[in-house]
Parts: sequence; structure tokens; C-alpha cells
Amino acid sequence: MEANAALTLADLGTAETGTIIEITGDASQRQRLSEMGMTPGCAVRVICSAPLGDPFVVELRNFRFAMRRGASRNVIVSRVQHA
Amino acid sequence: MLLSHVYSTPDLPIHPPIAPSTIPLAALIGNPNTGKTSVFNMLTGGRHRVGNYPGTTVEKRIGRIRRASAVIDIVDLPGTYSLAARSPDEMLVADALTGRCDDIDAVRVIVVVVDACNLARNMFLATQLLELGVPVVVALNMTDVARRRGLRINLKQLRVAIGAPVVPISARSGLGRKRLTRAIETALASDAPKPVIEWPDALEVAVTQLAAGVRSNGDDASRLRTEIRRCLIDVGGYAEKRLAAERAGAGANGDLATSLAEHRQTLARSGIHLPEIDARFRYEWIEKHIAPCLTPGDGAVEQTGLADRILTHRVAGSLILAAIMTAVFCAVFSWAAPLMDAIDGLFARVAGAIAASLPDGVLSSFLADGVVAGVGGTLIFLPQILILSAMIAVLEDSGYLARAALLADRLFRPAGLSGHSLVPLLSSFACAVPGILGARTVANPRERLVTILIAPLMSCSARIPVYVIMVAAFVPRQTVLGFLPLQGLVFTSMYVLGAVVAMIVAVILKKTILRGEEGTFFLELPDYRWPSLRGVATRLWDQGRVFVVSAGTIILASSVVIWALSYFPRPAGLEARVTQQQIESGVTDETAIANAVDGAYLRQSVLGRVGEAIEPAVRPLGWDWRLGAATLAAFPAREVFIANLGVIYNLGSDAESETSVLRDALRGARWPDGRLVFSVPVALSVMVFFALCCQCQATLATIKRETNSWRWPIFAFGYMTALAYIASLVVYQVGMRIG
Repeated sequence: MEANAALTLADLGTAETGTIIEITGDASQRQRLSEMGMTPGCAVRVICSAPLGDPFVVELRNFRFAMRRGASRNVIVSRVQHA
Repeated sequence: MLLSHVYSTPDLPIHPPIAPSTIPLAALIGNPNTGKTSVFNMLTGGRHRVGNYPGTTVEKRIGRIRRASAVIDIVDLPGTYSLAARSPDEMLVADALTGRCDDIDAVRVIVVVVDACNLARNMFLATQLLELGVPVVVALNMTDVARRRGLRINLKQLRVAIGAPVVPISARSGLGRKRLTRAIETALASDAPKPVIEWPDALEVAVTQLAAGVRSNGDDASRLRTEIRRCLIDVGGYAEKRLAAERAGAGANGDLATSLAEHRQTLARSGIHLPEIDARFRYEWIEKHIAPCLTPGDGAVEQTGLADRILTHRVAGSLILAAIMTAVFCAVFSWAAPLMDAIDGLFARVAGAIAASLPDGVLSSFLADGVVAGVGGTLIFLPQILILSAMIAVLEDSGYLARAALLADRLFRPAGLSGHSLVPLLSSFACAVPGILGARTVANPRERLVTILIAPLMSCSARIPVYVIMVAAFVPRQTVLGFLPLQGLVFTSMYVLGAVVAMIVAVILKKTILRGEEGTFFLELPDYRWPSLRGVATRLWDQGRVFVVSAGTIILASSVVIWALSYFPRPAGLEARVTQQQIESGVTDETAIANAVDGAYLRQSVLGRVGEAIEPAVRPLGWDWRLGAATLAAFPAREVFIANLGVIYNLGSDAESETSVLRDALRGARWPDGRLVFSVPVALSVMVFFALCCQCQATLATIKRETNSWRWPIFAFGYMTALAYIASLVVYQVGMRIG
């Protein structure tokens, strides 16, 4: 793996939290994810995942939804270290 | 083609003038999982009309709010997260709210349902609605749940922030019904709210320039601006295509797409990125103005979190899912059986009473075998439909269905489907009719259509009689590998065959005629909740009524047609001639003679003759004309095949798959040259044909009802019949070669 490859939501483990930096991918996907509240600066936490690790559940803005790993690679995040 | 057949754009001018004399229309809109349907039921008292929007698969529900001072119609629009339309449901919402849906009047009031426990996300759609130039009422639902969780909402502050009436309600308990209806009535005479979002100047300049380019007389300036902004923001979205189509011949200067692209580039240079700006500005506004109105509690997210730790656990969650799905399957499969038997028995008695009270002849046969069979053939599905619908309603309303879709998603992905297809496909193993209705829970419209089209491939209970008699009569009672019974193995393999073929067909459909942009899989996991009895009851009533009325008509008509084809012509003297022959060959039993007469009539009926005519076509499958004719006559329903065989082999239509008489008759059936008709390959070829074919008018009628088009039932029948034919051809020919 490249040393400075961007960290994505797919790289976060269960119970880890990230801050969204930007969404990549095509316009329709960027729009869908941002409409759900995935806007830069928003905190997103990985809650759990289905068998085989995919799809997985995230929590943001006080609600939960499941997304597939593939789509989550378009969500660039920075890891929030636990206090 | 793709989605054009599912959704067609009505060719209407933008914002037609409101007809003054009609009953004013309010639109109910909101995110999925906000209890919007409960609000609708609360407002209308559960009385409403159900239909489809023209040319779409989207269900339309319109009800009426009656007050002493006013009567208002209200339409329940499909749940949506945003007005940036990309799916057919969303396009419909976008059209309905801007007066472009030819089937409903212009919307005079928008009632937006928001979940008090999830206000931030819900307000995203609400801020979009505030920009449409139509009065808005915010129905703040589930306030009782919010209060129990300790969440406090400052209503006064919220009203000021939104600039529109906010009515706290709890649709479940009926709390706030009067306040909400009063607010809707007041809103009819009110001004539209002021949009709350202040867009950056650069964006507004672009909107002004674009609006000047497409503007025509009679446009409302602020509505047109909202519309242009939507086009600009939704890169490659529906708004742009729609406006371009509408203004194409109307003197729009230049190409809209080109000027939009130019403006987007300019905006990007000044740091305004589309489409992200929409969400960024709205959520920033929400954080600044809505968040301060809330004092968070903590209760329920924790409860839901705890439940989810078990219910979505890799091992425990999967086991619970398997247990629940087994229960659903057993319920549809066996709980419905006694009710179905009762309905069957009732209609058999009615048919018997008609036959007994009327003289033998066309009228008696028409009523007993055509009409009563058709009505009975519709009602027999009600137990399964109602049981499955009730279970889906409970699973969905409780929030569990979303978890089931999450757990099962991976299983369906190779077929290009998602976890949403689990329940409809599983229940199709009992019966495809409730399964196809259950496909309404599949969010993506293309996946829903694929699910509907492959559901009939799952081996339903109506195929069991065919399997049972073929296996019992022709598959030897021996074991494989010393312990596996061969008969059971053959039986099971029919179920596997259907499921495997279904997955392959799904892949092919998704890669060919149902190809298209892959929607983002997005599954909201709502908080767990007790389902409401009233909500479940309303859904059962709606589904049952719609099935009986719209599918029932088709089933009845087709039963009558098949009856006529198997009844006519009735040459005079045939009965006497056959009776004579039977007596001469030493038959004295009256029933046997009557059965022989019935058989003779069927053989020379239109259906029997067609059966004989198609013998060359079914011969490569190892079938004789009798099997061909019995299959043709089984078009109304597969289970009729056994009864047909009974008639054709002169055993009477009461022949049951368990009776050894029919089994012996089949074993003894011979070609004219004396060879036996049946062998193991022939029996397998019959079974495979019935496993894959779509000989079920109820399924076809249900596909017609659910897709709102004849194209898909015809397609399903065509592809399944072709598959069935090819597969049984292969089975028979290979079977004969390897002996």
C-alpha cells in the first residue's frame, strides 16, 4: 500500500470514528452520500458489519445506515483518535 | 428503453394554472421511516383510494380530509430523501410537486412529515420543500417517542427558524390530528414560506443568467429559479433532462446542457462544487438553526444499539434471521393450507350445487367450471397473500426487515440483487403471488423488476403434485451412496434447479434488458419500534382488495376462456357413441363410462385438437399428445395438470396425485405402436418443464398488476416457457442416450 494513499471509510475498523474530508466518485454517488449527511467535517462511526464484513453499518448525525464496502472507498476520512 | 417504460414524462407545461372549483389537494411527503403512512391514515381515517400513477409501478394513494369548514384531498407521495430525483419514485415526487403529473391536480399545500428523533437528517428534504413556492406544514411526528427518550424540542424556536407552521403529532396514537388538519386548512390560504438557504452569489448569478435563457411567458420567477438551481446542482440529473425536453421547441436559447456545463465549470473555478454544495449548505444551515432547538436525550439509540449487537451479530444474528425466515416460510406454506382447503372445499361445493341444480349443459358447465373456478382460483390465494403481507408488515414496521436485508445482502450480490430480495424470493417457494407482491419492499426499481421476473422460478407449492406423481410413479425406490433416497434427491433437485436458474436469469437480465446505472446501496437502519395494529390492518386490506379486484378480473376472464376452449365444440351423438363403445367393450360401471365420455369430449375440444396438433413440438421432449394437451390446459394453474391427466386418461377430474389409479394409468400409457410413453427420462422431462414454466395465470395477472403493463407478464411467460422447453429437451435427450 502506498504510504500516503488516502484513508477511506472502508479502512476504519468497528467502533472507530472518522471525520469526513471529501467524497469522491461520480456525481450521482457524491450527491447521494452527501444528501445523507456525509458532508466534510461530519463525524462518522463504524458500528458493525454483516457476515463476511460487507455491508457495514455506520452512524452519523445520530442515525444509522448500512452501505457496501465498495461505495465506502469513495469516502475519504481522517481517523479520530480515541481520547 | 430501460426505465422509459416504467416511467414516462408527462408532456405538460410547467406550473399549469390551478383550477379554482376543484377540491384543493395537499401532498404528504417525507423521508422513508418517518411514519408517513400512519400520518396519512390518521388524517384520512383510513379511507382512501389505491391505484397506480399512469405508466408507472408506483402506488398512488389519495384520501380525503373532511372538516366542518373544508374538504381537502391528500395524496401520499412515495418516501424520499431528496428532491434531486434519480429513481422513478423520486421523479414522480418531483413531478407531482411541480404540477407535472397529469394524474393529480396542482399541489396547494405540502405537508412534510419529519421524525422528531431524527430531525437533522429529515430537515434536509424539508429545506428543499420550502423553496417550491407552495405553503408548507411541518408535521413533527413521533413526538411521544422523542419525549420518552428525553429529547426536548423547542417548538417556538423551531417555527421561527423554519418560517412555517410546525405541528407536533404522534400518528400512532392519533395525537395532534385536529391541530394538523387545522394547520393544513389554514395553510391553504397562506403564503408560501421564504426559502431559508442563502446561496453564494456566484451560484445565484449563474441561475439568473440561465433563467433568462429559458424563460417564457407565464413562468413564476422564483419557482423557475428554484428549478434552474436544481438543474445546475444535479449534475446529469432528472431536472435537467426534464427542463431541456420541455423547453426544446419553446425558444430556449442555445443548448441547455451546454450552458449548464459552462456555468458549472465557472463555478468550480470559484470553489463552488456541484452537486456537493446542496448538502453542504443545507446541513450547515441545519447545524446552525435546527440543532440549537434540540436538547438531546440518550435513551433509545442505546436500546437500538443493544438490540443490534445481537440481531446483526455474525453468528447469533444469522441464526435469528434463519429462524425468522423459516417461520415466515412455514407460515405461508402450511398455516395457509387449512384456509386454502376450506376455500377450495367451499367452491367445490358451490360448483357441485350448481351442477346439481341446473340441467347438464353449457350453462351449468360455464358457471361451475368457468366462473366458480375463476373466482375460487382468485380467492384461494388470499390466505397466503394476507399471511405473508402481515408478516412483512410486522417485520418492516418493527425495523427488523432492514436488518434482514443487511445480513442477506452478500448472498444476493452475485446475482446483481441485494438483501431486499430475500423475503419476496423466499416466500415464492410457497407461492409466487404473495412473493411478487412482497417485492414492493425492494427499494431499487430495477432490482424490484428482476425480483418479480425471477420469483416464479422458485418451486412453489402448486408444483408439488406434479413432482409427487412423477417421482412416485417412475423414480425407482433405491438409495444413492447407500443412504440417500433417490426419490427424495430428485424431488429436492427440482427446488435447487429453480433457485439456480433464477440466479442465472437475474444476472442475465441485469446485464441485458435491465441494464443501467447501479444505484448506491443505501439502507437506513431505523430504530426498533412496536408495529401498529392499525397500520398492519390497513396494508392487509389494501393489498387484499387490490389483488382481488385487479388480478381477480384477469384470472376470472382467463378461466372462462380456457373453459370454453376445453368445452367446445360439443358434437351431437358423441356421448351416445362413446357410451355404446364402452358397453360393447364390457364396461358397466357408470362412473367409468362418464369418465370416458368426458375424456372423449376433451380430446375433440379446441384444446384437445391443439394438443394433438402440437405433438410434433412436444415429441422431442418424449411427450405424447396427451401430455401436451394436459400441459396446455394447465395454463390457468399448474396443479390443474394432474386433474387434466385424469380426464385425458378417462379417470375423471377427481384424480389426485396420491391415487394409485392415475399412477398405474400413467405407467401403462402407450404410444400407438405399443411402446410405453413413460420412462424415467420422460418423467424427469415433465418435472423439469413444470419446474421452469410459468403455467400460472394468477402469477401473470399479479405481474401485470404490479408492473402496470402487459409487457412483463408476457415476457415472463415467454422466457420461462422457452427455458422449460429447452431444459426438458436436454434432460430427455441426454437421459435417452445414457439410458
